[in-house]
Amino acid sequence: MKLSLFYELTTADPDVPGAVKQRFDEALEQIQLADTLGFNTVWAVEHHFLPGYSHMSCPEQFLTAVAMLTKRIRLGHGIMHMPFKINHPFRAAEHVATLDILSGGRVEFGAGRATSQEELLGFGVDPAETQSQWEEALRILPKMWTQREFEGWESTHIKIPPQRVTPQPLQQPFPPMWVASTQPYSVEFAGKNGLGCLGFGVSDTHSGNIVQMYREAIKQAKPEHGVINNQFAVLRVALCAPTDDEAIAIQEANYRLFYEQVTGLFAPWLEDKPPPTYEYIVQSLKEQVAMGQTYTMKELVEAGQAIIGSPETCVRFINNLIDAGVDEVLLFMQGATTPHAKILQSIRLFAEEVRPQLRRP
Amino acid sequence: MDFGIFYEIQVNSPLKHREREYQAFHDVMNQVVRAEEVGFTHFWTVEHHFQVGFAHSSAPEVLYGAISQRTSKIRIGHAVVLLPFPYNHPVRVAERVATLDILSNGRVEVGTGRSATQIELGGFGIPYKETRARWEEALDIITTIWKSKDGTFSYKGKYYDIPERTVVPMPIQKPHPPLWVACTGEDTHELAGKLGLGLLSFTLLVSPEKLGQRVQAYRAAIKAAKPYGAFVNNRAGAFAMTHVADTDQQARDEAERAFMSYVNTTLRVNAAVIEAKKTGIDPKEGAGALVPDLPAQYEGLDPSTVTIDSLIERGMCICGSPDTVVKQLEHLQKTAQLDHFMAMMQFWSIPHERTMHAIELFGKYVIPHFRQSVTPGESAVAGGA
Repeated sequence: MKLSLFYELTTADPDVPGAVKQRFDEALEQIQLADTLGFNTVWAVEHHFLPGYSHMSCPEQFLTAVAMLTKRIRLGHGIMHMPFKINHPFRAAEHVATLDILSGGRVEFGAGRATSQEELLGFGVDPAETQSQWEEALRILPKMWTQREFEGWESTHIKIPPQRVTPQPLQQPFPPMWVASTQPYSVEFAGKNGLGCLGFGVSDTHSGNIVQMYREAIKQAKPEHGVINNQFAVLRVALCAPTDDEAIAIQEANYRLFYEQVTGLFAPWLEDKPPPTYEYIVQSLKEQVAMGQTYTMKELVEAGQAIIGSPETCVRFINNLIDAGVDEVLLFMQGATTPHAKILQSIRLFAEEVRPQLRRP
Repeated sequence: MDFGIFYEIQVNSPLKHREREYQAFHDVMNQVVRAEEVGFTHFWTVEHHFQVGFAHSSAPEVLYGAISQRTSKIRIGHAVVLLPFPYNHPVRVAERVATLDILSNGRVEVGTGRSATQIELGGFGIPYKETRARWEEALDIITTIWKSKDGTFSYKGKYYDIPERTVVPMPIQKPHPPLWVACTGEDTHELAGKLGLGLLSFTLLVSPEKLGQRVQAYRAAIKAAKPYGAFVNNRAGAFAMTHVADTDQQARDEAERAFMSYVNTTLRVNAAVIEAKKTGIDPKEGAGALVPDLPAQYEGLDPSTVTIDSLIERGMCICGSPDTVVKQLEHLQKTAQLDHFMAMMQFWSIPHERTMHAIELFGKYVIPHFRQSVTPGESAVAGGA
């Protein structure tokens, strides 16, 4: 089981001078520690226009800074937005290739389609078009990364002439590719296309079946570019502390705030009719909201919704994920109010007291 | 006058030798670290797309993230970020610059540009006639964001219709990082002054005297500047191909292929747009038949007569032993009255070790010589000009 980190650069009080910079500095220090302790990957989101919730609007730059400060930890886009108006394919290809070169070949490339009104409408993107643009980007980028002269692309969404894209990545033929999956359709899509699956909306009530669905689908995968990245990862708000009570005391508010904010991003669609292809995630969010309203934090942890507790508790729930067939867990520890020292402690506990006890460390 | 080191990031035969691209990026990073140590105050790169061999700096913002951690004092400048969409969206530029400002502890310089090659404009589907308007609207948006209290803004213009949004993060430098613009023609030098932007004079084959005239036009215009930004950035910078070695002969021999190749490639790649500006014919129409391989005339010169010796003689490059280079820069300084000189020192045909040696010599013998000189920009503002 790979233990990885996940960052939004959430900031409780972004208007306080220096607060945002402090989150950046703290994140870099946390990641450096995690690198020395053998964590697998640091995954950075891409979000725009969401003050407080996320200040990671330029992950490609953040990850190169991380690359300079670390030796082994891999650098993941979790995820890069693929709608063309947000990231033009040429620019996405160039960013990833440059990061891959500067980091000595440590990029994991996760692609997504952007999910909030704030972001989509802020950039003038029609939500109904994001799915097909995302699917096109997943075919375009490998060509830009491998062809001596990119052959060009023409669709209803975009016309790209043939051009020599430079630079090209260090990893051959290109960095491992993943997609963010929040619904059965996209988990199946990931499998069918041989892509790693970042199960961002996958809670424990579904883990086992969903992973099985993925593995079945990937057996038949025959992607154009011939590369299969058979990996299933899940995201969990997390914190490890000496006792369950301590961990919950620190992280409960951040867990609840996170889901409140995520729900808020979809609020217009929760009441109304979601745009096509966004129905499932809105429905599953409604379920999570209902759960959050009635369960205590301890009950939520027991239900596998978060990995917040003592080393024993963390071992228990990561073992559950191992049993469900999950390969990697993205530990989201830097919540809005999570103290830096507690995150450093948590990173140490995961490495020194949790990982050695796992069924398959 | 202070000194910057300026990069295209050239790679020798990258298609045949894939590993050289990796090596070039890491050589550049090591050069910049050393440049900071020996006294260069700024590090700049271009943004170019599809220019295999000539310029691999297509995602400079990504490189800057790395440079921000490997250096601590040197300013990190875009020379330039291309503002016409879809090279870059103005919101993304604002975000990137702010993120870099945070990562670098407030060291970003924002040079902006609109792109001058048909191959790039064509690749991104941008009509060349619209580049200035797109550049200007993007600049308006970026400065609107930075002049707002917390990044909250909305915008309705010709190219962008952005509903109210809050851009995060915001830069550390207050009121915002200094803004510059790349200028090639006479009219744009004046425009830079009118808009209160720093001047990045990106002219090739221009004598120090002619450059001096353009800088004067800039200084005259900036007196009545109506800046987009929150302040006037009265700084005039220019770049030149630069190489230093132990002797004049060695410098000349090491640089010849590099400089001549640079001149030829630049002119060839810009030819379509240069011709279009002169004839008014859109490079996309009439392409091929009408566009020459090299413009017949460039800045009043016949490009086919250019040699390394003529470049040196006419002060159109900086090349020689440390003593010679000091003299060349003194002449440039006296004639052009620059605030900032950008030395382009990395070329595909000059080995990394020779460039490192050039940086050493430049830092040891050249930079200290100019440390005492008064900043012309300051004296101009004080009414001395």
